[in-house]
Amino acid sequence: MFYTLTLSHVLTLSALLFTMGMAGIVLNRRNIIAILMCLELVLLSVSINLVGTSYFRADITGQIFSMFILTVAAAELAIGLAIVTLFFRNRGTIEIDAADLMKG
Amino acid sequence: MQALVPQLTTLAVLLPAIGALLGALTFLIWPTLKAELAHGHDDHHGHDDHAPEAPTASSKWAHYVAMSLTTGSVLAATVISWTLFIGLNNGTAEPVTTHWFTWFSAGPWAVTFGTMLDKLSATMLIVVTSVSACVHVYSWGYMAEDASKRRFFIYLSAFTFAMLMLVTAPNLVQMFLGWEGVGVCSYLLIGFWFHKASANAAAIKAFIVNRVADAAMLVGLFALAATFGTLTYSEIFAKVDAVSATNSYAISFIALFLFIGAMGKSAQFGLHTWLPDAMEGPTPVSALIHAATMVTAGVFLLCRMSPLYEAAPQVLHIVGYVGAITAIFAATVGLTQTDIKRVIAYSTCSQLGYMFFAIGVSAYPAAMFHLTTHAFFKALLFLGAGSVIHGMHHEQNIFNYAKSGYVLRKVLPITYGLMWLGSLALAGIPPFAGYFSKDLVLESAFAAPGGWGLPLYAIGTLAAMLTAIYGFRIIFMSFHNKPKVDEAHAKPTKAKSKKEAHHDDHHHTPHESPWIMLVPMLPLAFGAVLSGWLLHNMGTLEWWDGSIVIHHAHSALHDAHHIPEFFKKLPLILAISGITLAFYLFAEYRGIPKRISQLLPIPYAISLNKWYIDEIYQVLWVNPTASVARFFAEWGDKKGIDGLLNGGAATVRDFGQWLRGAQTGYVYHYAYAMLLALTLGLGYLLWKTM
Repeated sequence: MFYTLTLSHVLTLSALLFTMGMAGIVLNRRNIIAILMCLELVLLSVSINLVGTSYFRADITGQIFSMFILTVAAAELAIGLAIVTLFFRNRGTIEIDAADLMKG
Repeated sequence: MQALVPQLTTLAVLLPAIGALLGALTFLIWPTLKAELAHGHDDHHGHDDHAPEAPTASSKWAHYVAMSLTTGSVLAATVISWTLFIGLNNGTAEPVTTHWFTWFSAGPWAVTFGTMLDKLSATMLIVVTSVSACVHVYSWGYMAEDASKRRFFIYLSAFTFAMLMLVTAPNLVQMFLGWEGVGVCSYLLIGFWFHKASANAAAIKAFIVNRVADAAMLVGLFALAATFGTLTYSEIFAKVDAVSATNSYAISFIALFLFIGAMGKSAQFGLHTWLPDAMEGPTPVSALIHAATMVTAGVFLLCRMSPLYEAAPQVLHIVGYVGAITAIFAATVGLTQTDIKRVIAYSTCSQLGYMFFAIGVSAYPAAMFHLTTHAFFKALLFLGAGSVIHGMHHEQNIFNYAKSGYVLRKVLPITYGLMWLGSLALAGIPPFAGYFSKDLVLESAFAAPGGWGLPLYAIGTLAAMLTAIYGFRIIFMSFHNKPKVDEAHAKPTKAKSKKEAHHDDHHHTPHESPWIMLVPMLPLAFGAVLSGWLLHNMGTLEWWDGSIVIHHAHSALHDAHHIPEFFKKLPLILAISGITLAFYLFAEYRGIPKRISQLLPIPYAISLNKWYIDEIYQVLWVNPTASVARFFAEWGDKKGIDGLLNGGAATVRDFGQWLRGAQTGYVYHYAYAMLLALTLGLGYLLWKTM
């Protein structure tokens, strides 16, 4: 049986992905790489959101926007990974709890 | 001449101030030198203990510029002062009051600045400037090795200015400014060697004791202002008769409190404790401030206020007895002190007592006369003592001079001679200066109407004998050693001192002082020898041209010449026997004083410990004050004020401590917080729109 794909399906998927991403960031205690991945997830959810609304509203802007997001996300990830590499070089670990220099 | 008198007076007063200010300007050109912050040479160490690095050319300039400016200005002031004095004496100049400016005015009140020149202030002018000039020149030699001598000279000149303002002020406000000014300079100069704890303590003591007296003086000044409505001398004197007819208690009150103020400055019994301690200062300071000038400010003030005191005869009795007690007290203490400067300090105290009891019997001219002659011979004695101390490398104990193994009268022949002149003048031997003035003081006391001055005469005469004894004790103990006797009797001591000398790398042989120190003593010696004879007119009321007023019933000074011949000669006889006694006790048979001290242990202990005045004050005033201060420090300051502030600070700190827990440093905590805030915010907006 077929379901018609509606905007709410897209938005639900996006919300699920966003929630998973946020949960990953907040609950994850171990690994900075995992945080970066969760960040990607959050960005993807936003992209899906944009693509979905763009499709259903017949407006191409949102899809173009999502292309930009993908590009920026790639660049951001490259910088993030570079920082993680440097962090590992300095601390010998990429555990999140090791990054606590801002502790008051 | 007369046309220039106001300008000359102003110039004489201001010159030392200009010198001091210009001297202080050298600190702008050559800021404080390193050596000035380090420990200079002091009294208790050899000269070379802190051998300063070779002074640079500019540092030398810094000192010599300041020294030349201050010394030059004071010398110029001296010349002007003598011109004025001689002019007044010969009648070519008239007393004159100048007005500089009005400080402030409120209603009928106007506090003005200016000068007042009459015979009284002219006499003080020559005394202050002459001694100050001699001391300035002397200090070129005495302070030659001090690293911060320019500061010393600036203080000296500032002191001279303050003292000149004190004596030439036309009103009591300006006089009081000078009065406090000399107090400050005295404090600065006593504590000049600030790295010496004892000098600091002595400076603070001098300041505090004078504060006590000045508080009384202020009360007197307020009462004076309230009663007379003015603090200008001439206006006060014009009103004395009218006020005394209606309110004689007020006059007695004012006179008494002004006298308490004078007691502090002039180190009278009860408020004298600071003067011997003030000997911690450099010796030229002792000569200038604590012998010749500042300590006579009280005597000057009472003479200046003579119309007022003449209206308060009861207070004059108090003045007389305080003076007599001081004279005998200081003389007994002077007998046993071992520090050469302290003996002379007690002698100063004693001589000031003479001046006050002369005032007590209304013989103001005698007091001023004695003040003048005393300034010369006492400054000479102090500078002579400074020369001995300089020559003996900062040894002040007269017993150690005896133990040193040197015959000082052969090593320091010029100083020795000058000290003889000063001591003869002090003892009152004719024709030296002290004879004329001291005899006039004692004769006036004898001639006081109704015979109330007889006890004063008796005390003063006894003190005159003691003066001769302790005065010559210094001479004989310091200068008259017999090397042979020393070797025979004091061999262990000498061996010990030699061992010490060997221990101390900086042992020097004693030497006569340089000419720069001896020459300024010559004018003082001249004064010590001749001033009594040259200035004997000062002993008459007529000479003062109305600057001193004596009630016609107080005829002591007038009758002084008519007392029995025996009582005129008695002080002289006792003085001569005192000198003879001193010669036998302290030069010929040195064992006797020790035997006497063993036979009379209690009087000896009382004298040696200065009548235990310091100890009594310690128990009576210092300890209770310290306890109260400690109580307030502990409960008021530490627990009260500090507690309040620290408590407030601790509260804020604890709150911060609690709050910092929020700052975990973990990225995901911040992300969580952001998420939470975003969710709540969005939820709120959503809820609002629904």
